[in-house]
Amino acid sequence: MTNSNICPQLPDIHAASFEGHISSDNGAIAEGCFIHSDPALNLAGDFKSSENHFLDLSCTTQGEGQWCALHLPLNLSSSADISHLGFLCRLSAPHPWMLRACLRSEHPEHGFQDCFFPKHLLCTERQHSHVDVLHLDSQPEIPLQAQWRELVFFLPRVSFTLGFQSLHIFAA
Amino acid sequence: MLDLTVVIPCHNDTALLHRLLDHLNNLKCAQKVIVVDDGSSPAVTESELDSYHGPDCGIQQLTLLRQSPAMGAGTARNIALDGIKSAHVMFMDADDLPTRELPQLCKTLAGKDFDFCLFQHHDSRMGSEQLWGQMPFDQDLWAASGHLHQRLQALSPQDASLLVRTANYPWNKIYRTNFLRTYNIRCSETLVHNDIELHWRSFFHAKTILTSNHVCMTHFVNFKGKRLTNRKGAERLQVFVPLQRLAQELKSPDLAAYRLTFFQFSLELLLWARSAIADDFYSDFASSLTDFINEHISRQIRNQIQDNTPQLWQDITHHLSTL
Repeated sequence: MTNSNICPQLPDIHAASFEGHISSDNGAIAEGCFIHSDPALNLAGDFKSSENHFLDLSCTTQGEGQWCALHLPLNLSSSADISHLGFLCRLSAPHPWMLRACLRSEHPEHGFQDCFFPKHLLCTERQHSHVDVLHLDSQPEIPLQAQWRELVFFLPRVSFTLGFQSLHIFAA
Repeated sequence: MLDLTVVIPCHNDTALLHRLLDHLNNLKCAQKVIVVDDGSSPAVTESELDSYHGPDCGIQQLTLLRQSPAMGAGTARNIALDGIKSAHVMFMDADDLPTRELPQLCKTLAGKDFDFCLFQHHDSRMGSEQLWGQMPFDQDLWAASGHLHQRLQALSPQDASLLVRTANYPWNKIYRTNFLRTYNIRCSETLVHNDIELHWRSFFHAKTILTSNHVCMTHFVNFKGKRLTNRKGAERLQVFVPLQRLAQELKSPDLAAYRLTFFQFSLELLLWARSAIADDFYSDFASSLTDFINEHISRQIRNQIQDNTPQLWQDITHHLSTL
């Protein structure tokens, strides 16, 4: 499975050109795709997506908070038929940043369950590609069935600028 | 698809039982499941299992049996085995999880003639070291047998004498039900070590054993808690029950090929059991060990053990000399 199956919004975002503002109250970027941050961060910023350039983010923070993340919806209620879930992205940032990515699954008791991809994403001033994959059987905490799932990128909790030149999600 | 029943003994493992049933339901590889509640308190109820089976579910039929008081997983498995109508059976422990490879193996096995199929597993202790698969001892045996990377292969008698030394787990095999019935192959009805007879007697009597490198189960090892594997009391002396029975059966000339490997296994297990038993019971343990060696291990086998595994023999004789 590739982008169009597992995250139907991704091809549209790649193909389109749009831009906008985000804040603690309104992190919507595209359908199902949003920035969610701790209100204590008082996040504000801009996003821009242009054709064949996935997403640029430039945000400022006014306080100290516990989280700031980019959420992408996944069309993956059942993971029983796949053995691996992964993503490939190309990214850069004027100043170096370390990000983490996780697969977030709905959980009936806890609200959600996060399973982190093994590698940290390093953003530097030079574009480079990052690939990571989860072997799902190695992660028994990932429920086989979930009402919703997301790919979540945890972003810096201070003012930042970074860009995803591309993002592709795959499952096999 | 394989006509398969999964048997799950359960003792005060409700949360893990639910996790396992949810997994089985989603994997859709076993149409029938028998849960045997081994004296849980509170008891497992039919209503709490309702959501895991039905005509539109992966599990179409779920039967709940109960034995009270608790008599151990071995007795629980035997009770379920008596009532199975499927052509094939698997035994799972409530705290383990099947992987996504199990349905693939079941599809591969459908229509094939075999007595049991031995597959690979993932041990959680390896997971803590970012390694997927079995503990090194089992992995090395599979490699030595030449079956480590074979998707599905018949096991020769020579290689069977290697793989019989793998961990005596009940949940790493898919059995043909009538094979178990024909030879009356069952678990020991002891609180601990109840898997040994099922494992060894399956190897003793099978005509067709298949192996697969599919990793079909994740086995979770928990060093703490009250699980039977962590028990240190007099119940550990029950290790001699299956060993005595198997040693007796090995007097048959048809099983001569298994004698050396069985007694090596027995002595290694008994050394481990010694370390797992409280000192209060050591005298009884040592006495039973002496009787077992004197009654069943011939001079020829002792010499072979001494030659092949001198450290093992040295450790055993050390324990005997401290009596």
